[in-house]
Amino acid sequence: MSRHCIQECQACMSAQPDVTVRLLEYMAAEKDSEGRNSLLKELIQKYALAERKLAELNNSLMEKQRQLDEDLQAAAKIQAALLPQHQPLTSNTKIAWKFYPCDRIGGDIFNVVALGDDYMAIYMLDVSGHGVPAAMVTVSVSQFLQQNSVLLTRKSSSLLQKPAPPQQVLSAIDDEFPIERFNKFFTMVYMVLNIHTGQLIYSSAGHPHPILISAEGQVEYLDKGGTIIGVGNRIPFEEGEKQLCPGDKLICFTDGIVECMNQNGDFYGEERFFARLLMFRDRPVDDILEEAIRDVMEFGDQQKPNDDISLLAIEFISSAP
Amino acid sequence: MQLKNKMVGDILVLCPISSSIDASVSILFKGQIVDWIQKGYQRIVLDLSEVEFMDSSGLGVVISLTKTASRKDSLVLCNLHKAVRNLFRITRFDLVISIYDSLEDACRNMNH
Repeated sequence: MSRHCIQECQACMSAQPDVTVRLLEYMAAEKDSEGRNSLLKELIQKYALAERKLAELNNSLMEKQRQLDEDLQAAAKIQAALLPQHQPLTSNTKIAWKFYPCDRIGGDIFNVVALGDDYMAIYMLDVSGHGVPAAMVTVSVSQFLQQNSVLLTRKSSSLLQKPAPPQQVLSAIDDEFPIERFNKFFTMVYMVLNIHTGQLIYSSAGHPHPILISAEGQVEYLDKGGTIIGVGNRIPFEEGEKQLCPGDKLICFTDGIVECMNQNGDFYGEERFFARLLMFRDRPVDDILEEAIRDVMEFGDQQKPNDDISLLAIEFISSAP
Repeated sequence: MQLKNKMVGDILVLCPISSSIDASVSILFKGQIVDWIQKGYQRIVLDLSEVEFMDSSGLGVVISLTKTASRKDSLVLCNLHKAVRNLFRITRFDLVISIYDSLEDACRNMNH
């Protein structure tokens, strides 16, 4: 560039400095915009990739959830097989039951088991917590109770077997299921009924007291027993005895029904539950439980209960001819 | 869950500040008390005056603390609300653990 030209340019720049600044700014902006565009492009690509990965993950999660649901359904069927399957073969009693686990499987279990020709064993238990871990414990306990050696004992000087006393059964279970074993404890009631004479012997391990409603409407609570299973026989399991008369109804339950809470935070409670049982006491055991469930569901605005609900009712129909 | 603490002589008084001890707080509840036990406190009163409801998981915590307690009556309870008292009555755990009506009663009996 000639000296003359430089001088001219300098003169021009000093005359119009803002034009140059604008030019430089424009060039910088151009460069910025290119940078922004490539950044945007990169971001879009990354986003698309992430979205694709998310969709894949979501699919695999849904598949896993589906498998889990199927497994739970299968587990629920297995658990249901441990509940009573039919009426006892004897016509001396009639039973009814309801089981509403708050998840698909629950921590409650109960059953009615024939012990020879003369007796039946009735039990119900409620494992702490709910869902799969509690349900696994119910399976383990039911299995334990299926061993004849637990529920039956040999009469001395005879080969004949007779029902083991309830306190002995609970004590054996307490030995078998210390809280440390599964990090679970449970409450349980165990009873032996002579289906001919109506003699009932029972003991409870910290379980809500079963209620006995006589044909005349008198109410008694079966309150004998000891404390929770799992704490290691801290106190003995006391036994109680009752004579059932034809028409008497015995109802066992877990705390899920009385602790059912509505949206105001109120509990359904024992009073409401017992009042309902009494109101329908003349009806067949099936109807009584049906009405109790209807009432608690109405109370809870038909919402899923927050704990497992189990009810088992036995009507003693006749004594020995 | 907050756990207030104070000493009455050599007795540690722990007071959980929670209206409900259920599955949502029971692990935390247990952990905090175990921390205190591991610090070497031999005699503990659990003041349940703030606890209006306890479910089976809360009871489970008390059971396991009782089982691990070094000797009988090294852990006692006081100031139980009716619903909590009922839980201990129905489960007959009130025959296993000592329950007192007031903190003064609890401390007096622990000192005997």
